[in-house]
Amino acid sequence: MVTRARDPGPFVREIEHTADLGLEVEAPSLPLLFERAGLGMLGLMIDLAAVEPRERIALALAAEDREALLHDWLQHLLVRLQAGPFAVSELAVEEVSERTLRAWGAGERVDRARHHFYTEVKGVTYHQLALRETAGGWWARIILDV
Amino acid sequence: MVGAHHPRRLTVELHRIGDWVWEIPRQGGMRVPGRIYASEKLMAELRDDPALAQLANVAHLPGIVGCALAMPDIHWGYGFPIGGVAAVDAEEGAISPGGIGFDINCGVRLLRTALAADDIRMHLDRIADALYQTIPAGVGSEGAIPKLTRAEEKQMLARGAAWAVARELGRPSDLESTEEGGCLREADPDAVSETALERGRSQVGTLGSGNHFLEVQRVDEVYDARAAAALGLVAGQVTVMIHSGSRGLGYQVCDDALRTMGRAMAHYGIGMPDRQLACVPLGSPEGQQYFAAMAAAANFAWTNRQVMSGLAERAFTAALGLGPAALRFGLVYDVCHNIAKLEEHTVDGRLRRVCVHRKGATRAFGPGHPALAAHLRPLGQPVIIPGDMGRYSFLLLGTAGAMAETFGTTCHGAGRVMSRAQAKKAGRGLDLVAELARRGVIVRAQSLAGVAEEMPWAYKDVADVVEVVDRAGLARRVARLKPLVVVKG
Repeated sequence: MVTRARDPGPFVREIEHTADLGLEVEAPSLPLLFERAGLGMLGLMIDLAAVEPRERIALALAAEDREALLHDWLQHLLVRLQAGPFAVSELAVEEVSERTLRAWGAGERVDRARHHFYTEVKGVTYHQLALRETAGGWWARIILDV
Repeated sequence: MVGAHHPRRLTVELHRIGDWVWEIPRQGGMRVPGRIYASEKLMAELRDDPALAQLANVAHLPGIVGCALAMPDIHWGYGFPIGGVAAVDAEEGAISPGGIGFDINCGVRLLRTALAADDIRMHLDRIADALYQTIPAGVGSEGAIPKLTRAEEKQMLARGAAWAVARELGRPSDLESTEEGGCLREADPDAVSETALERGRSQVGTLGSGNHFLEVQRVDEVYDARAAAALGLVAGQVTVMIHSGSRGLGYQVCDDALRTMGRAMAHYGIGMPDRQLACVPLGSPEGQQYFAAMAAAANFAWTNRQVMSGLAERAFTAALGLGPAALRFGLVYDVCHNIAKLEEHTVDGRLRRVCVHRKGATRAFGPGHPALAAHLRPLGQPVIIPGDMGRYSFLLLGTAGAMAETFGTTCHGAGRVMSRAQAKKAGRGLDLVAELARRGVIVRAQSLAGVAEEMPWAYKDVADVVEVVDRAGLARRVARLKPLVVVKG
């Protein structure tokens, strides 16, 4: 499965937090939750509609538990966007376990003339970070420092 | 920090112990009491805020001395509250990246000019355009400083603001009016990760978004004419204020440390309810590595603000056709409000070396302090408190009271009252640019949504915050500054 920025959203729901940006994500499967969380966060930072999936990048991560994996996944996408700078508008999580993740993303290098930026996210916090299995699938809460 | 609770579920016991001070008594695993500086009005808004429980969590920090302190602009942060201050013993205490924040050395500087607001009123649009074009916002922007080589970046991290002055951005005298001279000597560029270096390489001299801004202001009201004159300020004068920090490099230093410390804490026998509160002993290898990297990030931030000062001066020249002699740009002061510093303070009658965490709080050293340059020593340290973009900001001076009560610390800003989502909702359907123009403020911004999040209604009135620190003796008011032009990333 692939989640594309142009798929019907919203992928994430903003929750109330005074200083920072809180997000809730729901999905029927864990790979889909990671895809939605990733594109949901990036979509707050840049207009993904203008990001063409020209180039495919491989993404592989390992962390000490599932919540840390979600944190590291988002942090990795954030760093790619800010340091590359490379934006992805498609994400496919091929495999996600308790501690590892394998995925690919498709996007392109940032071009300030075509790509419009919104809020700059400074970091993905561990504050109130949660990832749980629910009756309908998976649910996560993430607070971003903006 | 074992035993602390989720902030929303912790009921905080609170006693008023002075006209402007409330105390959370020690309970559970708190090592010291918590103390909050606030007026009745501000406390009424704070009473049910998770920030108070977060302050109680701060009091669990190993090696904390005195009290866990909160300034009147305290609000709910991640881990530590914003507006929180914690001093830990330099030998036995713990350092916590969450007590400093992602944006290491986020800070504010105030520049004076020789211009009178009345003389440039007709040219404000041109000045706004020139500033917006000259000062890049961030990711993907072509900055005035081309992408640095790894070696150049490391030199910059070691030298701080002097690196920018050597490139003719600002002048050598600016360094005397910058906290720490714009350079923490403890900085070690080799302690900064490759990812952090990569995130910083093309961001020197960029503003960033969120609550960061550059403003052209008018000195609107002077409360202490002698002190203002000593700082080169009179009513009606044009000033420039810059609020920005260490950009991607600092954010990554924080993230790297949270990851390392999260794993190392068990080794030091420290537990905590929230990964964002990760901490290790300051003297441990992990603690020392973070401190050296944090200091390098702080130097990045000072360089960044120094570069933007130089760029702002160039923008004024381009807009008005006036050279340096006519503009007479000069730095009043540069403060950081997200940092940890090794300082000496008297605690329970004894002089102690402590590491003071200030997260959304400003150093406010009183008159005579040896850390101040000679021209500032008789006055006390200038403290710059930005308000929201539609109202005003304040210039204050540090006091002996702050030295005695708050480890030489005062507030840092207005403090949010609305979430970003609420602020956007409140602004829906309004022409925000026109609304600000009605208030006499010209705005240039990358994103209108960003403007909505930072509208005046999202913040407390900074005058209420400043009144508390002034009355409580934690700083004294010198002047009020009103925005004429706001540039946002």
